Amino acid sequence: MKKYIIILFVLVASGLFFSCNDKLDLQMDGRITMDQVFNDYNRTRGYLNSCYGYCPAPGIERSSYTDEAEDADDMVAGSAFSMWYAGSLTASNYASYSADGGPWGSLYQGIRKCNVFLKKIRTSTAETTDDEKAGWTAQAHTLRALYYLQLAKRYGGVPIFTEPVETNHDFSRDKCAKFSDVVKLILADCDSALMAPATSTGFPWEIYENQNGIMTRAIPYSIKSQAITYAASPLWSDGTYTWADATAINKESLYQCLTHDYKLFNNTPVANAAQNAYTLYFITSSNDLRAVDKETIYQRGGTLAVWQNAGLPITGGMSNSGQCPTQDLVDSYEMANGEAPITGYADGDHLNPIINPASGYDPANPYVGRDPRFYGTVYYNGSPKSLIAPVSRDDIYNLDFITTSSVTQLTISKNSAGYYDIVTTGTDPHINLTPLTSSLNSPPSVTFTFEYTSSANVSPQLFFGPSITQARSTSPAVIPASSDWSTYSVDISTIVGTCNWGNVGDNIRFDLGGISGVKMKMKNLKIRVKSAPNTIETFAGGNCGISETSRTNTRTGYYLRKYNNYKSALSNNADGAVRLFRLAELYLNFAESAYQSNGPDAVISLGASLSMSARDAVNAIRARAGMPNFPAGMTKDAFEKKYRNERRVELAFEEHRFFDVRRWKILSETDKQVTGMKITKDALNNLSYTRIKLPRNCSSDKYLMYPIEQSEVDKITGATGVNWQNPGW
Amino acid sequence: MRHKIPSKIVFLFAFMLVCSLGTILNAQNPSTLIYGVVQDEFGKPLSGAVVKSDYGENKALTNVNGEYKLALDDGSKSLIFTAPGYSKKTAEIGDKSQIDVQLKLGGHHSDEIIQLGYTSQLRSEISGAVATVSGKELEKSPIANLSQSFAGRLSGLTTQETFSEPSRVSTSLYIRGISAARTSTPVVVIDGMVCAYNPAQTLEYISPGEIESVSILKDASTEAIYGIQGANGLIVITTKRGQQGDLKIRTRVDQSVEQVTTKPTMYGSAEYATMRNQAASNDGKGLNYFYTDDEIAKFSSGENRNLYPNNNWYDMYMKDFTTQQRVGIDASGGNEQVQFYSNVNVMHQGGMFKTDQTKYNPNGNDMWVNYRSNVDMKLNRYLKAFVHLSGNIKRERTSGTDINTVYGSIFQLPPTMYGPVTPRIVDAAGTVLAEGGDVITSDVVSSPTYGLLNRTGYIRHTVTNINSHVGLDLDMSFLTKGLNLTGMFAYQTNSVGHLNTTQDYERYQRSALKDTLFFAKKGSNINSTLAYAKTHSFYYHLSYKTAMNYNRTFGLHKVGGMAYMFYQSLTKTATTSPECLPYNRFSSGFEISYGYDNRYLLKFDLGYSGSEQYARGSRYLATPAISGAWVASNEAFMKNLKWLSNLKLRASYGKTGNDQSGLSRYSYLDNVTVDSGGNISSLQYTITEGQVANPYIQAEVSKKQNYGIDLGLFNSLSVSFDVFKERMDNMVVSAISTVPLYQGVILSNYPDINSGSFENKGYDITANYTKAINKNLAVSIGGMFSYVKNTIIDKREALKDEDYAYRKWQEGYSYGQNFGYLVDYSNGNGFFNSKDEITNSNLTYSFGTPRVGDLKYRDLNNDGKIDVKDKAPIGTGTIPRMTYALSGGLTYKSFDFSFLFQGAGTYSSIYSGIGVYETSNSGVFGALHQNAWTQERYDNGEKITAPALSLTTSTSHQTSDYYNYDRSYIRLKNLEIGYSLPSYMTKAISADKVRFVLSGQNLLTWDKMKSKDFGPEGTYSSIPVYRVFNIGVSLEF
Repeated sequence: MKKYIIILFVLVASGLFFSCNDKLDLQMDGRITMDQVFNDYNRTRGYLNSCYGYCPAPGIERSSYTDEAEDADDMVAGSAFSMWYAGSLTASNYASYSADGGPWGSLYQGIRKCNVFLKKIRTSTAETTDDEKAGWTAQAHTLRALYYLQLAKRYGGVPIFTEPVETNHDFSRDKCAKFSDVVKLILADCDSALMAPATSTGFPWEIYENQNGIMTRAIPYSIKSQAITYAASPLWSDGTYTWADATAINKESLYQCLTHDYKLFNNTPVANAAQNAYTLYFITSSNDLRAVDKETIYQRGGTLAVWQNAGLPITGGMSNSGQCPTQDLVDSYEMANGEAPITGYADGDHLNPIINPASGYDPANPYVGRDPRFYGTVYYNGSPKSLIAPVSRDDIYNLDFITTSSVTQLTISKNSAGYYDIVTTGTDPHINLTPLTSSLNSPPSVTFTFEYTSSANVSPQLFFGPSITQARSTSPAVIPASSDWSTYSVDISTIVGTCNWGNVGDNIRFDLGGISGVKMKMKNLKIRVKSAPNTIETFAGGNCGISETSRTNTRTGYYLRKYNNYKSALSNNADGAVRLFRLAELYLNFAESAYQSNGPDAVISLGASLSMSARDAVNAIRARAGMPNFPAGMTKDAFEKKYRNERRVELAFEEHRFFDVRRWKILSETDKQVTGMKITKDALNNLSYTRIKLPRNCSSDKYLMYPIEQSEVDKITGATGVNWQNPGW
Repeated sequence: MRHKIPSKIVFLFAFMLVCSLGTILNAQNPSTLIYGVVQDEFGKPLSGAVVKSDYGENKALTNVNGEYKLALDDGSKSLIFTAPGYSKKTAEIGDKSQIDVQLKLGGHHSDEIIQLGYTSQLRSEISGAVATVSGKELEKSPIANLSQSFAGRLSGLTTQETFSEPSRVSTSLYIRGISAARTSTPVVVIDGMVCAYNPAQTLEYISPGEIESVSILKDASTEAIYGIQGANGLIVITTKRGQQGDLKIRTRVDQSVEQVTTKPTMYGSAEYATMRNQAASNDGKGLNYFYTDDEIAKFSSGENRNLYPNNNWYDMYMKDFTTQQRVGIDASGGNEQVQFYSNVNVMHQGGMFKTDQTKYNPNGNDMWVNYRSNVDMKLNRYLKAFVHLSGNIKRERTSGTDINTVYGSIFQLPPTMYGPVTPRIVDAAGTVLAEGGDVITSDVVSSPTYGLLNRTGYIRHTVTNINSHVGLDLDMSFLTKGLNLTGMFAYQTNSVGHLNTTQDYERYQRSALKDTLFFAKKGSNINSTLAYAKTHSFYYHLSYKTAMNYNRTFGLHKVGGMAYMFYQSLTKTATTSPECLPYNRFSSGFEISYGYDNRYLLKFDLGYSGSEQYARGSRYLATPAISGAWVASNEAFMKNLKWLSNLKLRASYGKTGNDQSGLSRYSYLDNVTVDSGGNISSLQYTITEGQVANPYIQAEVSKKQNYGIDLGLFNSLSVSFDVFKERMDNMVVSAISTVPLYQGVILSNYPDINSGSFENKGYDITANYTKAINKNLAVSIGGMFSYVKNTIIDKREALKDEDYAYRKWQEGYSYGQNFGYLVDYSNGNGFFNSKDEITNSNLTYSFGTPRVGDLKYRDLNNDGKIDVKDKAPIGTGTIPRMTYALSGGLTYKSFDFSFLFQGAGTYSSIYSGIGVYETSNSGVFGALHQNAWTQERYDNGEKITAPALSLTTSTSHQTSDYYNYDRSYIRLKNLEIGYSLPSYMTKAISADKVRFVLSGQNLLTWDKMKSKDFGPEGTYSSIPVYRVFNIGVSLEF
């Protein structure tokens, strides 16, 4: 017995120290190898799919970092806008406060994906046609070019990789390329892509339904156009690419798109949909079959919610007023006659405009007769909110004093001439008015008004009965002493709304200040209900009044209208989206390089039977907008000024301005400060316009380029011994 | 394959049964009854003393009068008497049937058994570094969560209370700091079973009353055997076991009142408005940007609180006190065949908020039951079985938003805001014109406290956490004496059911009009009714362990050995791959110890363990350790020194391992998967590239040295001093510091490598003095002090450009070292006090333009520019370097009294954010902002406690030493006064003992924080540490 036990014991003891590898190995969990990816049709396409998605989506937020808009969140401590305007950006915090974070890392992820794909597709054994394989390769080339373009326009020269970087890579030998080198790669990538057959299985112009978002031939053309235009611009030009080189590429890009059914969106909107084709375009969603919109080349990013994030305070459910267009932008809209209203400013703060008398601009009525695009881009004081014509109304509800009861600390008597003589006798004199005999019609604008004389200033207070509580009261402006008959009126819309006042039987208690012995006469007391629901009031105290401290009210006197469908509301967002590339940009890029290389009026042949001058290209844009042509015979400087203004207006809130003022190296002029328009309304409803300055501290040369994230710079410096950081950061 | 281990285990159990059956025929010795009384040196009876036969088979406990009865049948020749705190005494039996003994107070606790998790040792035999505390000591703290009672009671344990919601407190525990550059926490071992996952879920809900002892293992000789789980130290919890003897019942009832220890300064609306105006004025926006003087006057006069409110949101939502009730009962006893210990505790915690919701209760409310049942059975002469069941069942209710968020939201709205809800408007006739009651918020706050607390529903968590240990214990003395084999299954199951009843609510915002109350709806939220959703998560953890023990004494030679094998399989709550795949770990190891004549002690340990984390080639790690001790006081030449009652020198050296290196799962494999969807839906599939492999990744090894000396004087004063040094040379480091983003792989997926180095050094000192003066009076006083400092030697950190003042920010510093600007105090106060001063400084700031009243920073690299290159090390890292405690007590007749002071030192951190910076939301002003820099205050020479206020981020809102708060503190952690009823009174209710207790926790704190808005553990907007006042009664039957 004992013998067996000992044997058993030894067995067990040895079992204690077995190593247990099987149990610790990974069972299948769905991982595959890269070779398995590229030996299968669907998985190869799947890898191509994963190459997409790294391009920052354009948004409207970036406009708040330009002279296009002042953000109402500038008063929120720690908001990106307050940091930006105060000039508090550093290479360490830039990513937290810029419009697209620090896209350096994610763009390089996209580039790596493309590099892996381009390397592996060469040896891929996935079963497919040569056309399709070439088409896939073209997409990857296009994506890589797109990513490098996004990098270069932000960071300038960046390191170039066309092969995937392996984990044994020696970082110490990496070099930062010049901007022009990056552009060279971009152009080469696009050209490679365009070598692919333009068949439907290859790299086509047109895509199928549900292929939304996939690369088409128009995209490499657009990338080339933007890249070369930037490369020839003052900030980036190092002599490698001239404006003539740019014109050559821009005309090709424009020509190719124009000959492949791209055209400016020019659908006349149906009544009440939008003011004009330009406006309609930005609330029309682009579609894979391009049935309606033939202008959009690539849309990236989803539908905006302008009504909510850059909305009007009178829209229920809005959260902030966001990007408020600046006076500078408003000034840049020409008059409908094609003349600039303002030719410059008499002062550095841009508070004293130099008005162009030929334009017909009336500073007391500044929003009349402007470029049609103005009305589609900006909500201003007096602009209609809705395009549906409102039913106009002006109802009068007469009131009277009840002299028989509720007369407190005053004497009142009705004069034979029809007015009341009132003498206050205490420190809280008040009297009730007759109740309403009919309910107020839905009261968008309610005024309480009367005529009076008074021996002293009276600080009135109105209580909205039948119950008299502090919460149901308002203390309007002082009734000034007056020996002559004067009219006093007070807007009581808000309080009426709060208290739900205005039903039959509701009354007002009228408190006449806190001084004894004031002698007053009063007559014609009335409630006046005017329907003005459709009008934006940006004057101080208006329904969308300008404010310095509220993030739900405009900082500049304007609200953003572009992309905003007036029908958008809480449960119905019908707003539009920003395009990454659209045909108008190709026209403008061509115009820009053409006037630089050939002059404004020189006609250049684009291709077979199609030729145009720089002026013609701009005029094409203007024609769609409903603006008169640029005059012929302009000097290069005059053309440049007008062209840049045109580009600013046409491409407003499309992220272009941010990069344009940088590549033109005019950031220090344009972004030193912005202005707004403070409108005040006096007792007689006269409006007065005062330009206000909104200071900024983010126009120094360091802001010309994004900084490379500080931690990345530290790593690069540590590895290469060279500091790649952009100047000033 | 899959069932390989279980089948082996089943086989083992069968084997044990067979072995024991084979020997069952061995005849039992006849039984003799021995009885007697155990007393202390003053003749006071000792209750609860253990009387054990020499061979260990027979055991008895003394009752309240010190009496015992023992049925002896294992043939022992002597009895061993032990009692906690007393020296062991051995008495020859001879032919006596009555044996009375007197036990002497053992000043150095040399006979105390120290639990080391898998093994145990007598304190006198310890050669490593271990700290222990008894459950009885922990019971003094009137707390809900167990680790709250650890602070100051275990030398070398750093505790940081990181979350203070009553009864859901979390405490970070570090044994001798950290062993690698991350905040890894020690492994918890409960009753010999490693509780490797989510140990807090089990640990925090053990009540001190169930605990026999807690040990922390601090050096290689005690940790090595745990292999890849040892490097961060271990906390060993040993729960009570039943003893042979009469049924003993103990109950304890406690009622506690809890109160916050700190409360942020709340300003009245006039003060707030003034400061807000001041901030705007500093920013160049004029004197009355927000409020006119007239409005401020109205805020202060209170004439129209509707238009000019003065809301103290803190008082509106926070109760002054919350309450907690606890009831515990345990029963133990048993006969020779079966012994049991059972315990049930119930805890109830009330909520801390004042709520306003009649349809349901959104206030916090926690209820737990935790229980334990340890049953030991003797199946036959050689085979014992045990079943240990324990668990906790919690029902926790919170508001629909978690309580910490609700608390933090209190500070969001300014006192000048009307609220919390829109007014109800009733006319004179009583007709409701407007119902009101809609939640008001400001333009910058999306969810105000009122809504979060009262309008988001409530959540009920039901947590069931059950641990079962089942095992057999085979005495293999039939083979050779002293040999023993144990097999054990452990199963932990944790299931959490969440009942989420949520609702949303409309927000209203007051219009900008100042003379009327008008509210407009804000945002798209709508008032919704309660929506019910139920979710459930579940994890389980299965472990098997077998161990063989050998302990035998041959004359002066004492030999011990242990070998074990341990397998863990854990399935976490995750539902997606690879996290849902089981986590498996295999450990084994052995230990050999040898002692000669209680003078020379040697121990060798070897751990050998691996996990699924690593590739086959680098999966297993061997962790050897050796330790030795020389008990000089037992040498002949010292034995005669009466005053020197103990002198021992200890040393240990060895390796410990760590497999919790923050790696993603299976990081030795590339993770490429195919998914559907993707960016372009027409392409149908997409490839996801995750982790890039490092096939050579392996467990970290920390080499640890410990040298200690134990000194005992007059059998009363014990002093221990340990110095230690730990070094890790294969620390897992990530790519983050050196690999540029432009290579294109997300850095979190970039392979980590074993190339870092880390060092951790320090020392522990403990001193204790206990003395029984006479029969009625005994005193004790003790203290401990630990110092620990870690240094990152190598973390693959890139060397920064040469124009940096400090070219490395991690290597050479402690983990968590902060860098910031140093304020230039050369002008006396560190602020720019005039425009000229700014101009004359010739400094440009890269992060904005300084205003008068902003901080002046030091240009360390002298380039005239203040930027990131001027940052310098500030503070001490993540973990306090010093921890210390002073404790003491006395018993006098029926009274007992004890106290514990506990503290931390050499610890500072940079604070920022709400309440520290004044700019959050619509301006949140802390205590320091009241005396912010203004020209007037400066000109008058008044005290200035903050830079000039601002509306937005100013150049003063940067990490700088100005915001470095010294977080050292000393705290009266615990105070207890007890009174035991005299025995004639307890007899009247048939009780053995009745004791009344008054106790307190966190009673007083002295700290060096810059403001009293928050304490050294917390931040401005986190729930502060609570103070507890408790009254309790315990009864023993």
